[in-house]
Parts: sequence; structure tokens; C-alpha cells
Amino acid sequence: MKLVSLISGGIDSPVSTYLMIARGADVISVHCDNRPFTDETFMTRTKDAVQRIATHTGRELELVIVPNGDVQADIARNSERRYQCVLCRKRMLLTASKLARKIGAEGLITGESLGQVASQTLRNLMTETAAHDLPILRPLIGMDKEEIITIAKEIGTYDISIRPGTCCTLVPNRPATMARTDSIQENEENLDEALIDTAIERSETHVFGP
Amino acid sequence: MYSVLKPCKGGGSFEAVPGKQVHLDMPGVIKDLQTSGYKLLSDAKVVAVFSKTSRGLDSLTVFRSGKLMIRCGGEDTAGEHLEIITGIIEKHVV
Repeated sequence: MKLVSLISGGIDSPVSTYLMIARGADVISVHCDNRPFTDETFMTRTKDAVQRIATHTGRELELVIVPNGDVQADIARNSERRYQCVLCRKRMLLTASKLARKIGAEGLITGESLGQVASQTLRNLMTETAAHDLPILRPLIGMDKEEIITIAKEIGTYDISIRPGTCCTLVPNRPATMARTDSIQENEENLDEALIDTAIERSETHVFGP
Repeated sequence: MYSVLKPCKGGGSFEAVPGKQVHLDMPGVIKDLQTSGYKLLSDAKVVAVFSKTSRGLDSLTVFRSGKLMIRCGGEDTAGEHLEIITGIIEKHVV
């Protein structure tokens, strides 16, 4: 079973990636690089985390880094401010889906769990998932933060994930917590999907050995 | 205009917040910062990001709300940039 895992360099997504590898899935990790709206810390953390997972599992792992800054800027310029995070996650899922189709993967993995941040609500998860035709696996969905941290410490990614860095500067002061699917679709119509295709063309693949 | 320069909570940069609530004319800010040698990396309407490696600056993020994030090696360099940037930005408060 080949899956594409969205990995950010935070605490959660390395754990969700690891859990599916531990279940025997063939996982390709994808990192959407949000520079210049973040600094390089997230990319460095992601590379180090994937290396740590490769060492821990004894598996060779691939990481695809997709430049996502232009996609983020497009959302900020052409949609309602409060939907930035929902649309960003939706665009990242679309990027991952396109990559999955390209490499013959059958599903996606995310590190989402309910209620950890303001925008991670059940309604938003439903809205983000609308119109995606690949299954989205969320191994952490019912876990609390302490459980996730315990696994991150076991596999050695926790210390990497908490390194200081500049968080995304496009996060609005009041992100939408109850995004409606129709409103999101209206906003999405103003966005340029070709930017995602260009970003995928410009992506770089790194291989990490055990 | 800016009374505070403090390390941002992520630890990677310095943050300056205007003493009072403001709204910036972003096209004007972008034009004048470019004239002053700051290279525009991205214009996202609510936020614009610049670089200027020749003066020890990794990146400068200007928010439409007037907030600034200055990523550089130390507080002294951040303070020098803040002085220059403040002079430019003050002209574009609407």
C-alpha cells in the first residue's frame, strides 16, 4: 500500500507518518515549503525528522519538498482572510493528491487531530476534505497531545520538532472555525490551480537511508 | 511609531508592533522599501516579505496592520533596520 504523507516539521505529522510506516505502508513524505512566509527551520526540521524515522524504522524514505509560497500568497491575495488556514490545508491536500496520482499512491496521511488549534474543528476537516477523491488517513485523530508527544519522544523526533522557528506569518488573527463548504468553494474559484502544478514541477526529492 | 522590539515567540526573529492601531498603504510601502534597496520576495496583499542580505538582514515581513518581523543575526541589526523602515512606513499610514 503506497501512501503520501503530508509532513510539516511540527510534532504531529512525523508521528502520523511513522505510525503508518510501522503498519507496513510504503510512505512517501511531502513537505510544502511555505517560505518566505516561514523561515527555513520547518524544512530543516522536516528533513531531520524524516532521517530520524528512517533510522528508527530501518527503512529508506523519500521526502518530496514542494515550494508552496506562491500558492500561499495566492490565497492571501484572492480569498477572505479568515479562510487562509482552511484553504491552505485544502491546497496542500490537493498538492499531495496530485503527487499521489503521479506516483501511483492510493491515499494520503495527515497529522491532524481534533481541536488542537483553533482551525482544526470537525466542520473544517469536513470542508477541507470535500472534493478529494483519495482516502485521507488521520492516525492521530483521537489522540491527545500527550499521547502524540510520548510517541514522538520514543521515535526521536520530538526534540527536532520543538526547535525554535518563525511560524507562518499569514495565519489570520481570527481563523474560521466553522468554514462552510460552499463559502470555501466560492473562495477557491478565485485561486489559480496552475500554481500548484508549477510548484510540483519545481519540487525536489531527497532520499534518507537508515 | 514603534515602541517595542522584542524577540518573536518562535525565537527566529524580532517583532515590532506599532504603539497605536494603524493600517498601511501596502503598495506605497512596497514601492518605497524597494527604492531603499529592500528586495521584494513576495507580496501577499496583507503581508509583504523582503530581503536585504547586504545589511545583515535575512528577511523583513511587513504586515498591513503595521507589525514588523525582522529576521537577522541580532538585536542591534534589527534596531538599525527598524529605524530605516520606520521612516519609510510612517509616510504610508492611512
